Amino acid sequence: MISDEELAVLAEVQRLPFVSEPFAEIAKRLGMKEEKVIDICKDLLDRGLIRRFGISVNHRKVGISANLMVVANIAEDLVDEIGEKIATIEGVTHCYYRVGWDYNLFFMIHSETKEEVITRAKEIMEDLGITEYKHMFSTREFKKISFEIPKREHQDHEKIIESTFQLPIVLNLSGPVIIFGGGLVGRRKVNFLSKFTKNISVISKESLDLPKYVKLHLINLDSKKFYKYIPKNTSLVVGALSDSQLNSKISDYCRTHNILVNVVDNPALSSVIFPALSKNGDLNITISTGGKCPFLSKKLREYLDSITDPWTDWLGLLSPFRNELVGIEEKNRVLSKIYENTEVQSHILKKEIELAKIKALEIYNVLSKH
Amino acid sequence: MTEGLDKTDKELINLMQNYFPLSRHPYDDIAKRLGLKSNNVISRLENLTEKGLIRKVGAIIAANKIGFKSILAAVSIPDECIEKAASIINSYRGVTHNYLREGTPNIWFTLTEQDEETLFASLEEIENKLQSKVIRLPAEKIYKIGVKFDLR
Repeated sequence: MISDEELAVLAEVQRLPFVSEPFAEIAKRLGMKEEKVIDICKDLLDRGLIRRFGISVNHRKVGISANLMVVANIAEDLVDEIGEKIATIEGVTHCYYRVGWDYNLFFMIHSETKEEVITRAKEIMEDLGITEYKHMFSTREFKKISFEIPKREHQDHEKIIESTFQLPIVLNLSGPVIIFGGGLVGRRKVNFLSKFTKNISVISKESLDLPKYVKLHLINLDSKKFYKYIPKNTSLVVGALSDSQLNSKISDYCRTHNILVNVVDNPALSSVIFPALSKNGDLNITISTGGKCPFLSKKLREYLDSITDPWTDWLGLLSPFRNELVGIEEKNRVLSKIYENTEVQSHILKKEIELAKIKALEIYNVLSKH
Repeated sequence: MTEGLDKTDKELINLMQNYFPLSRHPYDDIAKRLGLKSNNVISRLENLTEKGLIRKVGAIIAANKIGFKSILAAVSIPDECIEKAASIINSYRGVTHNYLREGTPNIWFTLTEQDEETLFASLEEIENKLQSKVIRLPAEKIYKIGVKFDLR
Protein backbone atom coordinates (compact mmCIF):
# COMPACT_ATOMS: atom_id res chain seq x y z
CA MET A 1 0.00 0.00 0.00
CA ILE A 2 1.03 3.60 0.38
CA SER A 3 2.47 5.52 3.32
CA ASP A 4 1.29 8.94 4.47
CA GLU A 5 4.56 10.50 3.36
CA GLU A 6 4.23 8.97 -0.10
CA LEU A 7 0.64 10.13 -0.31
CA ALA A 8 1.65 13.70 0.55
CA VAL A 9 4.29 13.64 -2.22
CA LEU A 10 1.82 12.12 -4.66
CA ALA A 11 -0.74 14.85 -3.97
CA GLU A 12 1.86 17.48 -4.89
CA VAL A 13 3.50 15.87 -7.92
CA GLN A 14 0.26 15.19 -9.75
CA ARG A 15 0.57 18.80 -10.95
CA LEU A 16 4.14 19.97 -11.33
CA PRO A 17 4.97 23.66 -11.26
CA PHE A 18 6.56 25.24 -14.35
CA VAL A 19 9.77 26.29 -12.66
CA SER A 20 13.33 25.31 -13.38
CA GLU A 21 13.53 23.02 -10.32
CA PRO A 22 9.99 21.68 -9.81
CA PHE A 23 10.94 18.95 -7.34
CA ALA A 24 12.88 21.39 -5.18
CA GLU A 25 9.83 23.61 -5.05
CA ILE A 26 7.62 20.72 -3.99
CA ALA A 27 10.20 19.61 -1.43
CA LYS A 28 9.98 23.09 0.08
CA ARG A 29 6.19 22.89 0.30
CA LEU A 30 6.42 19.56 2.10
CA GLY A 31 9.42 20.37 4.27
CA MET A 32 11.43 17.55 2.71
CA LYS A 33 14.66 17.18 0.80
CA GLU A 34 14.58 17.41 -2.99
CA GLU A 35 16.33 14.04 -3.44
CA LYS A 36 13.81 12.42 -1.14
CA VAL A 37 10.89 13.71 -3.25
CA ILE A 38 12.56 12.43 -6.44
CA ASP A 39 13.34 9.06 -4.84
CA ILE A 40 9.75 8.64 -3.70
CA CYS A 41 8.54 9.49 -7.23
CA LYS A 42 10.86 6.92 -8.77
CA ASP A 43 9.74 4.30 -6.32
CA LEU A 44 6.03 5.03 -6.85
CA LEU A 45 6.61 4.79 -10.59
CA ASP A 46 8.41 1.44 -10.19
CA ARG A 47 5.61 0.09 -8.04
CA GLY A 48 3.02 1.20 -10.61
CA LEU A 49 1.21 3.55 -8.21
CA ILE A 50 2.14 6.31 -10.62
CA ARG A 51 1.24 5.15 -14.10
CA ARG A 52 3.45 7.67 -15.87
CA PHE A 53 4.89 11.15 -15.60
CA GLY A 54 4.19 13.68 -18.30
CA ILE A 55 1.57 15.71 -20.06
CA SER A 56 -2.11 14.99 -19.84
CA VAL A 57 -3.50 16.09 -23.21
CA ASN A 58 -6.95 17.53 -23.75
CA HIS A 59 -7.43 15.33 -26.81
CA ARG A 60 -10.50 17.09 -28.16
CA LYS A 61 -8.80 20.47 -28.08
CA VAL A 62 -5.68 19.27 -29.88
CA GLY A 63 -7.77 17.91 -32.73
CA ILE A 64 -8.24 14.27 -31.73
CA SER A 65 -11.98 14.70 -31.75
CA ALA A 66 -13.22 11.31 -32.92
CA ASN A 67 -13.63 9.10 -29.89
CA LEU A 68 -15.14 5.72 -30.60
CA MET A 69 -16.07 3.12 -28.04
CA VAL A 70 -16.37 -0.33 -29.57
CA VAL A 71 -18.21 -3.00 -27.63
CA ALA A 72 -18.36 -6.69 -28.43
CA ASN A 73 -19.54 -9.83 -26.75
CA ILE A 74 -16.75 -12.39 -26.63
CA ALA A 75 -16.90 -15.94 -25.29
CA GLU A 76 -15.33 -15.99 -21.83
CA ASP A 77 -12.57 -18.43 -22.75
CA LEU A 78 -11.45 -16.22 -25.63
CA VAL A 79 -11.77 -12.79 -24.09
CA ASP A 80 -8.26 -12.62 -22.60
CA GLU A 81 -6.58 -13.60 -25.85
CA ILE A 82 -8.60 -11.11 -27.87
CA GLY A 83 -8.31 -8.35 -25.29
CA GLU A 84 -4.54 -8.68 -25.16
CA LYS A 85 -4.32 -8.63 -28.96
CA ILE A 86 -6.41 -5.49 -29.22
CA ALA A 87 -4.29 -3.85 -26.53
CA THR A 88 -1.22 -4.02 -28.75
CA ILE A 89 -2.88 -2.22 -31.66
CA GLU A 90 -1.82 1.37 -32.26
CA GLY A 91 -4.55 3.93 -31.80
CA VAL A 92 -6.33 1.82 -29.21
CA THR A 93 -6.12 3.76 -25.96
CA HIS A 94 -8.15 1.64 -23.55
CA CYS A 95 -9.22 -1.97 -23.53
CA TYR A 96 -11.21 -3.64 -20.78
CA TYR A 97 -13.09 -6.80 -19.94
CA ARG A 98 -16.18 -5.71 -18.04
CA VAL A 99 -19.16 -7.56 -16.65
CA GLY A 100 -22.69 -6.36 -16.09
CA TRP A 101 -24.15 -5.69 -19.54
CA ASP A 102 -24.94 -7.22 -22.96
CA TYR A 103 -21.33 -6.75 -24.10
CA ASN A 104 -18.17 -7.64 -22.22
CA LEU A 105 -15.24 -6.31 -24.24
CA PHE A 106 -14.77 -2.56 -24.41
CA PHE A 107 -12.12 -0.63 -26.26
CA MET A 108 -11.57 2.94 -27.37
CA ILE A 109 -10.04 4.31 -30.51
CA HIS A 110 -9.17 7.97 -30.84
CA SER A 111 -8.32 9.80 -34.01
CA GLU A 112 -8.86 12.97 -35.96
CA THR A 113 -11.86 11.92 -38.02
CA LYS A 114 -14.85 9.70 -37.56
CA GLU A 115 -14.17 7.85 -40.86
CA GLU A 116 -10.65 7.04 -39.76
CA VAL A 117 -11.71 5.38 -36.50
CA ILE A 118 -14.55 3.46 -38.16
CA THR A 119 -12.14 2.04 -40.73
CA ARG A 120 -9.69 1.23 -37.99
CA ALA A 121 -12.31 -0.58 -35.91
CA LYS A 122 -13.44 -2.50 -38.97
CA GLU A 123 -9.88 -3.62 -39.75
CA ILE A 124 -9.28 -4.71 -36.17
CA MET A 125 -12.49 -6.71 -35.99
CA GLU A 126 -11.97 -8.33 -39.39
CA ASP A 127 -8.47 -9.38 -38.42
CA LEU A 128 -9.82 -11.03 -35.30
CA GLY A 129 -12.76 -12.57 -37.14
CA ILE A 130 -15.32 -10.80 -34.97
CA THR A 131 -18.46 -9.96 -36.91
CA GLU A 132 -20.76 -8.76 -34.17
CA TYR A 133 -19.81 -5.56 -32.47
CA LYS A 134 -21.25 -2.14 -31.84
CA HIS A 135 -20.00 1.41 -32.36
CA MET A 136 -20.68 3.98 -29.71
CA PHE A 137 -19.35 7.36 -30.77
CA SER A 138 -19.22 10.06 -28.19
CA THR A 139 -21.28 12.99 -29.39
CA ARG A 140 -20.70 15.28 -26.43
CA GLU A 141 -18.17 15.57 -23.66
CA PHE A 142 -19.76 16.63 -20.38
CA LYS A 143 -16.68 16.10 -18.27
CA LYS A 144 -13.14 14.85 -18.64
CA ILE A 145 -10.65 15.39 -15.86
CA SER A 146 -7.62 13.52 -14.63
CA PHE A 147 -8.06 11.54 -11.48
CA GLU A 148 -6.35 13.46 -8.68
CA ILE A 149 -6.13 12.88 -4.99
CA PRO A 150 -7.03 15.82 -2.76
CA LYS A 151 -4.10 17.89 -1.51
CA ARG A 152 -3.50 18.04 2.17
CA GLU A 153 -4.37 21.41 3.58
CA HIS A 154 -2.90 21.68 7.03
CA GLN A 155 0.40 19.89 7.10
CA ASP A 156 0.84 20.41 10.85
CA HIS A 157 -2.26 18.35 11.60
CA GLU A 158 -1.14 15.52 9.41
CA LYS A 159 0.57 13.52 12.05
CA ILE A 160 0.07 9.82 12.00
CA ILE A 161 -2.23 8.96 14.82
CA GLU A 162 -1.05 6.16 17.02
CA SER A 163 -3.96 4.10 18.28
CA THR A 164 -2.28 3.93 21.70
CA PHE A 165 -3.33 7.56 22.17
CA GLN A 166 -6.95 6.76 21.48
CA LEU A 167 -9.25 5.99 24.36
CA PRO A 168 -12.51 4.23 23.55
CA ILE A 169 -15.17 5.66 25.87
CA VAL A 170 -18.94 5.69 26.18
CA LEU A 171 -20.04 9.31 25.99
CA ASN A 172 -23.20 10.80 27.48
CA LEU A 173 -24.53 13.35 25.04
CA SER A 174 -26.13 15.96 27.26
CA GLY A 175 -25.68 18.99 25.03
CA PRO A 176 -26.55 19.51 21.38
CA VAL A 177 -24.83 17.73 18.51
CA ILE A 178 -24.06 19.98 15.54
CA ILE A 179 -23.53 18.52 12.07
CA PHE A 180 -22.10 20.73 9.34
CA GLY A 181 -23.03 19.45 5.89
CA GLY A 182 -26.11 17.69 4.61
CA GLY A 183 -24.55 15.48 1.97
CA LEU A 184 -24.51 11.72 1.92
CA VAL A 185 -21.98 11.50 4.73
CA GLY A 186 -23.66 14.15 6.85
CA ARG A 187 -26.96 12.31 6.58
CA ARG A 188 -25.27 9.07 7.55
CA LYS A 189 -23.93 10.76 10.67
CA VAL A 190 -27.45 11.97 11.50
CA ASN A 191 -28.69 8.39 11.25
CA PHE A 192 -25.87 7.12 13.42
CA LEU A 193 -26.09 9.82 16.08
CA SER A 194 -29.88 9.83 16.28
CA LYS A 195 -29.63 6.41 17.91
CA PHE A 196 -28.18 8.22 20.94
CA THR A 197 -29.64 11.72 21.04
CA LYS A 198 -32.53 13.69 19.62
CA ASN A 199 -30.76 16.99 20.20
CA ILE A 200 -29.24 17.32 16.72
CA SER A 201 -28.84 20.36 14.45
CA VAL A 202 -27.80 20.15 10.81
CA ILE A 203 -26.34 23.08 8.88
CA SER A 204 -26.90 22.50 5.18
CA LYS A 205 -27.31 24.57 2.05
CA GLU A 206 -29.79 22.10 0.62
CA SER A 207 -33.13 21.18 2.04
CA LEU A 208 -33.09 17.66 3.46
CA ASP A 209 -35.51 15.00 4.43
CA LEU A 210 -34.64 14.61 8.11
CA PRO A 211 -36.37 13.17 11.18
CA LYS A 212 -38.73 15.76 12.76
CA TYR A 213 -36.67 16.31 15.91
CA VAL A 214 -33.57 17.35 13.92
CA LYS A 215 -33.19 21.12 13.63
CA LEU A 216 -32.22 22.19 10.13
CA HIS A 217 -30.44 25.49 9.44
CA LEU A 218 -30.87 26.03 5.73
CA ILE A 219 -28.01 28.39 4.86
CA ASN A 220 -25.03 28.80 2.65
CA LEU A 221 -22.38 28.71 5.31
CA ASP A 222 -20.10 31.73 5.70
CA SER A 223 -16.59 30.58 6.51
CA LYS A 224 -16.21 33.38 9.07
CA LYS A 225 -19.49 32.86 10.89
CA PHE A 226 -19.78 29.10 11.27
CA TYR A 227 -19.13 29.31 15.03
CA LYS A 228 -22.50 31.04 15.50
CA TYR A 229 -24.07 27.62 15.05
CA ILE A 230 -22.00 26.05 17.81
CA PRO A 231 -23.62 26.86 21.19
CA LYS A 232 -21.49 26.89 24.35
CA ASN A 233 -22.86 23.66 25.77
CA THR A 234 -22.33 21.68 22.54
CA SER A 235 -21.41 18.05 23.18
CA LEU A 236 -20.11 17.18 19.75
CA VAL A 237 -19.50 18.75 16.35
CA VAL A 238 -19.27 16.88 13.06
CA GLY A 239 -17.61 18.50 10.02
CA ALA A 240 -19.06 16.81 6.96
CA LEU A 241 -18.72 19.62 4.43
CA SER A 242 -17.27 19.12 0.97
CA ASP A 243 -15.13 22.22 1.62
CA SER A 244 -12.09 20.70 3.34
CA GLN A 245 -10.71 24.09 4.34
CA LEU A 246 -13.86 24.96 6.22
CA ASN A 247 -13.91 21.51 7.85
CA SER A 248 -10.41 22.22 9.04
CA LYS A 249 -11.41 25.65 10.44
CA ILE A 250 -14.30 24.05 12.30
CA SER A 251 -11.89 21.50 13.71
CA ASP A 252 -9.48 24.22 14.89
CA TYR A 253 -12.28 26.18 16.51
CA CYS A 254 -13.67 23.18 18.38
CA ARG A 255 -10.33 22.04 19.61
CA THR A 256 -9.38 25.44 20.97
CA HIS A 257 -12.79 25.61 22.68
CA ASN A 258 -12.60 22.07 24.12
CA ILE A 259 -15.53 20.78 22.11
CA LEU A 260 -15.32 17.25 20.78
CA VAL A 261 -15.11 17.25 17.00
CA ASN A 262 -15.18 14.72 14.21
CA VAL A 263 -14.16 15.64 10.69
CA VAL A 264 -15.35 12.94 8.36
CA ASP A 265 -12.64 10.93 6.65
CA ASN A 266 -9.97 12.90 8.44
CA PRO A 267 -8.85 11.32 11.70
CA ALA A 268 -6.01 13.85 11.93
CA LEU A 269 -8.51 16.70 12.30
CA SER A 270 -10.75 14.80 14.69
CA SER A 271 -10.66 14.52 18.46
CA VAL A 272 -13.32 11.82 18.15
CA ILE A 273 -13.78 9.11 15.58
CA PHE A 274 -16.93 7.08 15.39
CA PRO A 275 -16.53 3.38 15.86
CA ALA A 276 -18.52 0.88 13.86
CA LEU A 277 -21.44 -0.12 16.02
CA SER A 278 -23.22 -3.39 16.46
CA LYS A 279 -26.33 -2.43 18.44
CA ASN A 280 -28.82 -4.97 19.57
CA GLY A 281 -31.18 -3.54 22.17
CA ASP A 282 -29.11 -2.52 25.18
CA LEU A 283 -26.10 -4.45 23.95
CA ASN A 284 -23.62 -2.18 22.18
CA ILE A 285 -20.41 -3.45 20.68
CA THR A 286 -18.16 -0.87 19.09
CA ILE A 287 -15.22 -1.49 16.81
CA SER A 288 -12.44 0.83 15.80
CA THR A 289 -9.36 0.40 13.67
CA GLY A 290 -7.97 3.74 14.77
CA GLY A 291 -9.31 5.29 11.58
CA LYS A 292 -6.94 3.13 9.54
CA CYS A 293 -9.43 0.84 7.83
CA PRO A 294 -13.13 1.58 8.45
CA PHE A 295 -13.97 -1.07 5.85
CA LEU A 296 -12.68 -3.77 8.16
CA SER A 297 -14.64 -2.35 11.10
CA LYS A 298 -17.73 -2.62 8.97
CA LYS A 299 -17.05 -6.25 8.09
CA LEU A 300 -16.43 -7.17 11.71
CA ARG A 301 -19.60 -5.34 12.70
CA GLU A 302 -21.60 -7.35 10.19
CA TYR A 303 -20.13 -10.51 11.64
CA LEU A 304 -20.96 -9.39 15.18
CA ASP A 305 -24.50 -8.50 14.13
CA SER A 306 -24.88 -12.06 12.96
CA ILE A 307 -23.84 -13.54 16.32
CA THR A 308 -25.07 -11.07 18.96
CA ASP A 309 -28.61 -12.36 19.18
CA PRO A 310 -28.06 -14.84 22.07
CA TRP A 311 -25.98 -12.23 23.89
CA THR A 312 -28.87 -9.79 23.79
CA ASP A 313 -31.05 -12.53 25.28
CA TRP A 314 -28.44 -13.13 27.98
CA LEU A 315 -28.52 -9.44 28.76
CA GLY A 316 -32.29 -9.50 29.08
CA LEU A 317 -32.10 -12.59 31.29
CA LEU A 318 -29.34 -11.57 33.67
CA SER A 319 -29.89 -7.85 34.21
CA PRO A 320 -33.01 -8.20 36.48
CA PHE A 321 -31.08 -10.56 38.80
CA ARG A 322 -28.13 -8.20 38.83
CA ASN A 323 -30.41 -5.43 40.11
CA GLU A 324 -31.63 -7.61 42.99
CA LEU A 325 -28.18 -8.62 44.15
CA VAL A 326 -25.96 -6.52 46.39
CA GLY A 327 -22.17 -6.31 46.13
CA ILE A 328 -19.96 -7.08 43.21
CA GLU A 329 -18.83 -10.45 44.55
CA GLU A 330 -22.36 -11.61 45.19
CA LYS A 331 -23.42 -10.41 41.72
CA ASN A 332 -20.59 -12.26 40.03
CA ARG A 333 -21.15 -15.43 42.07
CA VAL A 334 -24.84 -15.74 41.30
CA LEU A 335 -24.72 -14.51 37.69
CA SER A 336 -21.90 -16.90 36.81
CA LYS A 337 -23.85 -19.84 38.22
CA ILE A 338 -26.81 -18.95 36.05
CA TYR A 339 -24.60 -18.28 33.03
CA GLU A 340 -22.70 -21.56 33.40
CA ASN A 341 -25.79 -23.70 33.84
CA THR A 342 -26.08 -25.96 30.81
CA GLU A 343 -29.86 -26.07 30.92
CA VAL A 344 -30.08 -22.24 30.83
CA GLN A 345 -27.52 -22.15 28.02
CA SER A 346 -29.46 -24.62 25.96
CA HIS A 347 -32.72 -22.66 26.43
CA ILE A 348 -31.02 -19.44 25.34
CA LEU A 349 -29.58 -21.06 22.23
CA LYS A 350 -32.99 -22.44 21.32
CA LYS A 351 -34.56 -19.02 21.98
CA GLU A 352 -36.73 -20.54 24.73
CA ILE A 353 -36.52 -17.37 26.78
CA GLU A 354 -39.39 -18.15 29.18
CA LEU A 355 -37.94 -21.57 30.03
CA ALA A 356 -34.53 -19.97 30.55
CA LYS A 357 -36.10 -17.46 32.96
CA ILE A 358 -37.80 -20.21 35.00
CA LYS A 359 -34.57 -22.17 35.34
CA ALA A 360 -32.57 -19.05 36.15
CA LEU A 361 -35.04 -18.05 38.85
CA GLU A 362 -34.76 -21.51 40.34
CA ILE A 363 -30.97 -21.18 40.55
CA TYR A 364 -31.25 -17.67 41.93
CA ASN A 365 -33.67 -18.72 44.66
CA VAL A 366 -31.39 -21.53 45.80
CA LEU A 367 -28.23 -19.37 45.79
CA SER A 368 -29.61 -16.19 47.30
CA LYS A 369 -30.84 -18.09 50.37
CA HIS A 370 -27.23 -18.74 51.36
CA MET B 1 -7.68 20.67 -36.80
CA THR B 2 -4.77 21.49 -34.55
CA GLU B 3 -4.72 25.23 -35.10
CA GLY B 4 -2.85 27.16 -32.48
CA LEU B 5 -0.19 24.46 -32.33
CA ASP B 6 3.07 24.88 -34.21
CA LYS B 7 5.46 22.10 -35.09
CA THR B 8 7.47 22.53 -31.90
CA ASP B 9 4.34 22.41 -29.73
CA LYS B 10 3.36 19.13 -31.36
CA GLU B 11 6.83 17.69 -30.87
CA LEU B 12 6.76 18.79 -27.25
CA ILE B 13 3.34 17.20 -26.65
CA ASN B 14 4.29 13.98 -28.43
CA LEU B 15 7.49 13.66 -26.42
CA MET B 16 6.14 14.70 -23.05
CA GLN B 17 3.20 12.33 -23.01
CA ASN B 18 5.59 9.59 -22.05
CA TYR B 19 8.73 11.43 -21.09
CA PHE B 20 9.34 13.44 -17.99
CA PRO B 21 12.74 12.87 -16.43
CA LEU B 22 12.77 12.61 -12.65
CA SER B 23 15.81 14.82 -12.36
CA ARG B 24 16.62 18.13 -10.68
CA HIS B 25 16.11 20.11 -13.90
CA PRO B 26 13.59 18.13 -15.93
CA TYR B 27 12.65 21.00 -18.25
CA ASP B 28 16.35 21.42 -19.19
CA ASP B 29 16.52 17.75 -20.15
CA ILE B 30 13.36 18.04 -22.25
CA ALA B 31 14.71 21.20 -23.93
CA LYS B 32 17.92 19.39 -24.82
CA ARG B 33 16.03 16.52 -26.43
CA LEU B 34 14.20 18.98 -28.69
CA GLY B 35 17.07 21.39 -29.24
CA LEU B 36 15.29 24.20 -27.41
CA LYS B 37 16.04 26.52 -24.55
CA SER B 38 14.72 25.54 -21.14
CA ASN B 39 12.70 28.73 -20.66
CA ASN B 40 11.16 28.19 -24.09
CA VAL B 41 9.85 24.79 -22.96
CA ILE B 42 8.43 26.32 -19.78
CA SER B 43 6.73 29.21 -21.60
CA ARG B 44 5.24 26.83 -24.20
CA LEU B 45 3.86 24.59 -21.43
CA GLU B 46 2.38 27.59 -19.66
CA ASN B 47 0.79 28.74 -22.87
CA LEU B 48 -0.63 25.29 -23.72
CA THR B 49 -2.06 24.95 -20.21
CA GLU B 50 -3.64 28.39 -20.38
CA LYS B 51 -5.33 27.54 -23.68
CA GLY B 52 -6.57 24.28 -22.22
CA LEU B 53 -4.75 22.15 -24.79
CA ILE B 54 -3.00 20.27 -22.03
CA ARG B 55 -4.62 19.58 -18.69
CA LYS B 56 -1.50 19.31 -16.62
CA VAL B 57 2.07 18.14 -16.39
CA GLY B 58 2.75 15.68 -13.61
CA ALA B 59 2.14 12.23 -12.24
CA ILE B 60 -0.76 10.24 -13.67
CA ILE B 61 -1.94 8.19 -10.71
CA ALA B 62 -3.12 4.59 -10.92
CA ALA B 63 -6.16 5.15 -8.71
CA ASN B 64 -6.79 1.44 -8.20
CA LYS B 65 -3.24 0.87 -6.94
CA ILE B 66 -3.60 3.35 -4.10
CA GLY B 67 -6.81 1.72 -2.94
CA PHE B 68 -9.36 3.79 -4.83
CA LYS B 69 -12.12 1.98 -6.69
CA SER B 70 -13.35 2.91 -10.17
CA ILE B 71 -16.26 1.85 -12.26
CA LEU B 72 -17.72 2.54 -15.69
CA ALA B 73 -21.41 3.28 -15.47
CA ALA B 74 -24.07 3.81 -18.11
CA VAL B 75 -27.61 5.09 -18.01
CA SER B 76 -30.40 5.62 -20.55
CA ILE B 77 -31.76 9.14 -20.36
CA PRO B 78 -34.48 10.61 -22.63
CA ASP B 79 -33.25 13.46 -24.87
CA GLU B 80 -35.13 16.21 -23.05
CA CYS B 81 -33.52 15.32 -19.70
CA ILE B 82 -29.92 14.98 -20.86
CA GLU B 83 -28.68 18.38 -19.64
CA LYS B 84 -30.12 17.90 -16.19
CA ALA B 85 -28.80 14.35 -15.92
CA ALA B 86 -25.31 15.33 -17.10
CA SER B 87 -25.07 18.09 -14.53
CA ILE B 88 -26.22 15.80 -11.74
CA ILE B 89 -23.54 13.28 -12.70
CA ASN B 90 -20.87 15.96 -13.14
CA SER B 91 -21.52 17.34 -9.66
CA TYR B 92 -19.79 14.29 -8.17
CA ARG B 93 -16.12 15.03 -7.64
CA GLY B 94 -15.21 11.39 -8.32
CA VAL B 95 -16.68 11.51 -11.83
CA THR B 96 -13.68 11.83 -14.15
CA HIS B 97 -15.28 11.11 -17.54
CA ASN B 98 -18.83 11.77 -18.65
CA TYR B 99 -19.88 11.38 -22.28
CA LEU B 100 -23.01 11.36 -24.36
CA ARG B 101 -22.76 8.45 -26.77
CA GLU B 102 -24.76 7.16 -29.71
CA GLY B 103 -27.02 4.19 -28.96
CA THR B 104 -28.51 2.94 -25.71
CA PRO B 105 -27.57 3.54 -22.97
CA ASN B 106 -26.58 7.04 -23.97
CA ILE B 107 -24.78 8.57 -20.99
CA TRP B 108 -21.50 6.91 -19.99
CA PHE B 109 -19.42 7.99 -17.04
CA THR B 110 -16.58 6.76 -14.89
CA LEU B 111 -16.62 7.21 -11.16
CA THR B 112 -13.66 6.83 -8.81
CA GLU B 113 -14.04 6.84 -5.04
CA GLN B 114 -11.81 6.12 -2.07
CA ASP B 115 -13.35 2.72 -1.40
CA GLU B 116 -15.98 0.34 -2.68
CA GLU B 117 -18.52 1.37 -0.07
CA THR B 118 -18.43 5.04 -1.09
CA LEU B 119 -18.41 4.07 -4.76
CA PHE B 120 -21.60 2.05 -4.55
CA ALA B 121 -23.26 4.56 -2.23
CA SER B 122 -22.58 7.34 -4.77
CA LEU B 123 -23.90 5.20 -7.63
CA GLU B 124 -27.04 4.47 -5.70
CA GLU B 125 -27.47 8.16 -4.94
CA ILE B 126 -27.00 9.06 -8.62
CA GLU B 127 -29.48 6.37 -9.57
CA ASN B 128 -32.06 7.82 -7.18
CA LYS B 129 -31.53 11.36 -8.40
CA LEU B 130 -31.78 10.31 -12.06
CA GLN B 131 -34.71 7.98 -11.41
CA SER B 132 -33.14 5.56 -13.91
CA LYS B 133 -31.32 2.29 -13.62
CA VAL B 134 -27.56 2.79 -13.72
CA ILE B 135 -25.71 -0.09 -15.33
CA ARG B 136 -22.57 -0.91 -13.33
CA LEU B 137 -19.62 -2.15 -15.34
CA PRO B 138 -16.65 -2.90 -13.12
CA ALA B 139 -13.48 -3.87 -15.01
CA GLU B 140 -12.66 -7.51 -14.51
CA LYS B 141 -9.47 -7.04 -16.49
CA ILE B 142 -7.59 -4.07 -17.86
CA TYR B 143 -5.74 -4.97 -21.04
CA LYS B 144 -4.66 -1.47 -21.87
CA ILE B 145 -4.81 1.95 -20.38
CA GLY B 146 -2.17 4.16 -21.85
CA VAL B 147 -3.44 7.15 -23.64
CA LYS B 148 -0.94 8.58 -26.05
CA PHE B 149 -2.05 10.70 -28.94
CA ASP B 150 0.24 11.23 -31.87
CA LEU B 151 -0.06 14.71 -33.21
CA ARG B 152 0.94 15.12 -36.84
